[in-house]
Amino acid sequence: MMGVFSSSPDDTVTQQAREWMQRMHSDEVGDTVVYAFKQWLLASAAHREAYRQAELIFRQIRYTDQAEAYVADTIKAQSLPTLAQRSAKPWYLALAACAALLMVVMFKPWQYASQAIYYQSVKGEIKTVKLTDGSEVTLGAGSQISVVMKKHIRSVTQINGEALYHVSHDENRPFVVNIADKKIVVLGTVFDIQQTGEQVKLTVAEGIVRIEQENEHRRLTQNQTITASETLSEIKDILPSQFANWQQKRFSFNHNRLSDVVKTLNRYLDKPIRFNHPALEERRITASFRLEQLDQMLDAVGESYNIHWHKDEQGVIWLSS
Amino acid sequence: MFFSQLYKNYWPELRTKLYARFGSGPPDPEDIAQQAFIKYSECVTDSPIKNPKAFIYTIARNLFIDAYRQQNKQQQIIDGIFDDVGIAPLVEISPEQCALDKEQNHLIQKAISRLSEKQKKLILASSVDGKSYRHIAAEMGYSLSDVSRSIALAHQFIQSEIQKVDTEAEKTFDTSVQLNYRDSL
Repeated sequence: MMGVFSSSPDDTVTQQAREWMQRMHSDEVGDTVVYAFKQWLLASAAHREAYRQAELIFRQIRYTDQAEAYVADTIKAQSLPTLAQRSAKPWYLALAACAALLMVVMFKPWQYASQAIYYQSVKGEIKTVKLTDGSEVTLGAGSQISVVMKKHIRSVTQINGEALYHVSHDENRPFVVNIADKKIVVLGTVFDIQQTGEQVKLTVAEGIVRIEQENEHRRLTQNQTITASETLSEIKDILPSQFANWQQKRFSFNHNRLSDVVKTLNRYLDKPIRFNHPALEERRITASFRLEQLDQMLDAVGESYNIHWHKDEQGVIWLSS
Repeated sequence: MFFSQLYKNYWPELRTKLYARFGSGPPDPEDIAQQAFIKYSECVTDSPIKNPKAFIYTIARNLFIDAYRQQNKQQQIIDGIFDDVGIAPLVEISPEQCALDKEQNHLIQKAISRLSEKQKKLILASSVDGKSYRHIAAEMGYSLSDVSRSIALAHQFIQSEIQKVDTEAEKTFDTSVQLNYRDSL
């Protein structure tokens, strides 16, 4: 059992790294500890490597048979009593099932060249997928797209959430993104699309992008953004640092319905935000913040829009008027 | 085995297995099973997988563990610090990556199995639940310093077990390099 360490290498740096790892996980730490910890890490590459190793093991402990038994016992104890009580499946799970089946397509591209392929990210996860034409798409949390590659067109439908596109250049095959009744056409470029309720925000980092909606259309170039809801907004300039901010979990909402704002945030949050009063859902708010500062944002929004909030024991945030 | 065939064959079995192991949720075992299949289909394009059924089950149970885990503030702080000081993010940590890294997983499991029951309980409460030592101490009726010391020893043991294997692997590598060098002389 324990106490047999003699033959195992455990040098000072390894030990220090482990002590820091424990310190960081033992409880919430203050700024002074964080500062001291950073200084220690910055002191040498060996420190950083040793710490990464210790932290890696700490997190790998979670995905073991022992952790499985621990979780299974706890979940089972809290489980609902009967299967009949389980709620109906939301539509996106049906979609997930399709996605699972349609992945087959990828192994036989010659046969199903123009079949749709679904890509999706789960709650809280940001991930990048590579399309067959070499383009890359980074999906925000809980986001979905479907992709159809044809001989003369590359067609993507953005079903839900945020997506950042790095489109590989192909003059003969335009790249088109469809969202509801909007169409975004590009050749080879980098751009980001965020969908919040009925509102679509397009931001361009490189190249030229054309957006069409009913009889309207606009052309956007580098560092420009546009918002499309019932009509197209004016084109605005942005700073490069503001591009696809959701990747850093920074969000800005402009006159969005509160229910749409909450839906977006819930895709990123471990514990959801919920409404005590349904009437609040229709309120429109304007706010810009980092997800880490959610509490401060709720305080500020609460004050300006007369909304109260509290966190319950499970960590769920409830909004009331 | 082709994916569609695997899906058809294994889906009912996986579903039953998850219900039996984790109950009816939340999280819903069917949702988890769906996600596991999707993740499997994403992984399989990178590298072939020997035992797909076992692999999908491991992903599914890892997803259960993720769903169960509390929001962990300390971990977010650490991820932020990694970013600040330029340490590569821990991409090795995801339900599917951990299922792929069977060797490391096996080593850790073996090490945990050799800990005392008390240490096992403490280390899982800390690592899986993300509970603070104070919280664990209060809940299980140990002193704070006892919790801290026991967890420290457990981590030291696990890490030393992993390093032992790594060092042996390096030694073997060194010897083979030397032999090759001699051959070339």
